[in-house]
Amino acid sequence: MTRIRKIKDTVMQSLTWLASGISAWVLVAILVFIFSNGWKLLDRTVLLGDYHARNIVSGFGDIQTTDVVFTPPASLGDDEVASTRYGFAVRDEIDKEKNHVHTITWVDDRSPLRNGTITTAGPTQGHKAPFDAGMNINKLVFIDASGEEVSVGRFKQQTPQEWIPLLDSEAKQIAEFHGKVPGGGMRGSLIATLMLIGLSLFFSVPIGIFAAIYLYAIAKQNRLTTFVRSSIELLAGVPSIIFSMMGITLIFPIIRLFGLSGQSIILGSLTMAVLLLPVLIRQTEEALRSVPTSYAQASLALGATQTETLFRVVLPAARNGIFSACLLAVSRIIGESAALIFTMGTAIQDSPAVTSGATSLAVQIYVLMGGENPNFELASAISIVILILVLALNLTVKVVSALSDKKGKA
Amino acid sequence: MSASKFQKFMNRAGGAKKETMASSSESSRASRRDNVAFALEDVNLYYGDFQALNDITFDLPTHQVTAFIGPSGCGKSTLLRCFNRMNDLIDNCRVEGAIYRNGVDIYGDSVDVVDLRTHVGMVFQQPNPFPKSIYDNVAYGLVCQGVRSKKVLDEAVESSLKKAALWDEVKDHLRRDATQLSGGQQQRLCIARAIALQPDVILMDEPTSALDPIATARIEDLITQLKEEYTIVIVTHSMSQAARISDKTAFFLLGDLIEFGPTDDIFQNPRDKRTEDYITGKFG
Repeated sequence: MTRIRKIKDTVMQSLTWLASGISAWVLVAILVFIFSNGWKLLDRTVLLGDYHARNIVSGFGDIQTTDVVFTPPASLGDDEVASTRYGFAVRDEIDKEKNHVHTITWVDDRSPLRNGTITTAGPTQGHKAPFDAGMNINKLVFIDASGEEVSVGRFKQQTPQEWIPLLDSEAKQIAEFHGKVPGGGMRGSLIATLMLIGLSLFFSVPIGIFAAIYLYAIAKQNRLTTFVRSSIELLAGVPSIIFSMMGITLIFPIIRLFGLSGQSIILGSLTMAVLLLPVLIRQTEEALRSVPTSYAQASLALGATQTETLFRVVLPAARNGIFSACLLAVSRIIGESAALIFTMGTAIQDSPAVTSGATSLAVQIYVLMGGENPNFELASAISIVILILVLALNLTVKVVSALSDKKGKA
Repeated sequence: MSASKFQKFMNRAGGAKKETMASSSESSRASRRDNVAFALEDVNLYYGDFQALNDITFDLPTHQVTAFIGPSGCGKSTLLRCFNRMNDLIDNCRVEGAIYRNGVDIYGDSVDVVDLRTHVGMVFQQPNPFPKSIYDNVAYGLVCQGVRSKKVLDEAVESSLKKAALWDEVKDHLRRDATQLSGGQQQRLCIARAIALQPDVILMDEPTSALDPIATARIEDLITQLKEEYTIVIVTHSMSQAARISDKTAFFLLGDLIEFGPTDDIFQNPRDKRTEDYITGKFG
């Protein structure tokens, strides 16, 4: 081997190393970045909490302070200050929006503060007001021995160490409580995503399977089917933002006939279904083609009709492949944002309904990062959830296809 | 075809009526002879422009094992697939001439192919049980026929598996996946699956070529037992297998039927030089 050939070899090899090194590095960098930003934040309240913070003002009527002395649990930390007369403890901490807040860390079951009713005007006025661990206390109004109203709390720049002892010693009666159920959660988007997955699959899987069966078994090779086939191929290459536009221009008038107006999860999932169809059809057809023709021959030789053969033998034998196709469709739905922006809107909902707009997890990220103050941490936390879900789905697909390979060889 | 068999056939739903009518008009020649399973008249078969079978004419006897032998590409499997019209599945395959079964040309317009295939069963070269349970495999044909009664299916599964000499090996795990069985068991299951439909004829396309010698011996035993009840046509590459199990042998070469007769005659006193060359191993 000449020197030049050796050098050429080395250069080309280094290029391949470099290229794969870069790809691996980028992947790791993304993961590290997202996990380092979001992991700290990702807890139960973020995963299952509301996105929108809720301010609570509750009144207490004539509830008198009892003489019960509450004993705080021994597990309270040094930074938590407990009120022994009212049975709760708070801590001064910094919330997801980087503000100082006094967060309730413990509430006794018999605490009189649990008996408040919401006084803010609105549909929930008069309902029982929440007073739970995790809420923030901004202000407490009590009536002291002289009958005067005294306000204490964070809004007066007091620390818990200052206002809790004041409350315990001075208060005769609690008048009002101003607090906040903190937001910044993703429960609503998680539920909306699940609804979207369910509805999209409900609309697309039957159509996809039947279309694939048609193309696999029934369609004759002619110009029309070639055209259908290439249309499906083309459809797979259409950018999803165009599907989103198609959703509002074509599908919206149809669902309006059923009395639905505006953006909704149904509109989003119909659009998603159209977007998923090409992939589903192609992969289902692939799965059908991988079924040995000997099964179909055996079935036909036993006097089964072509349809019976398809539905009793070929389709069941292809079920692993079709299942994998559905899982991949699910991971596509989880990751899709562009197709949903116009069709489902960008208003984050805490309790989504299929007939109204909502955001999926991916769209919530888009919304969080699009505002004036991008919430990087929450976006990263949601990204972690998305990545974990997609990874799990892909692993399942791998396991399923490994299993069916094994079975096929046996 | 024996009288009772014919009776059973006539009593079957679907196709029975029109076939009787057809038999009186179409051919009196074959319908008179009740020991003929298939009467072939000038059968020519084309794959597009390629002619795979040339003017095949002979009578295939009932309740005997008929072996089709010949080198690869001689048309023996092609002819076998004419009897249950599996060739229909191949694009641009065309059949001319007539194959009479009970006096009716099975390539005639009035024939229901699906019905034909319930009377003419087939076993393939590679054992091909469905990826279903043993029970579901055997019951498949009947379920497609619309049989739903569990009692009828149970009985059919048991008797078919018994006839296929598989019952004792699988009776305790009928719900097990059929693809878990050994190759020989799978092939016997495929035979049981065909038997379950109570066919008159069982076509076997090299049924033992994928099996080991012991499994082959069991299948051969089984074939010898089955001819009591069924007409069996077997395509085989093994000269010795043809000699062991068949009553009649047909030798094919390049789409022509060279010689057809009792197996002993073919192997001991072949009339044609080409037959002699083939069975003595000069080519093939």
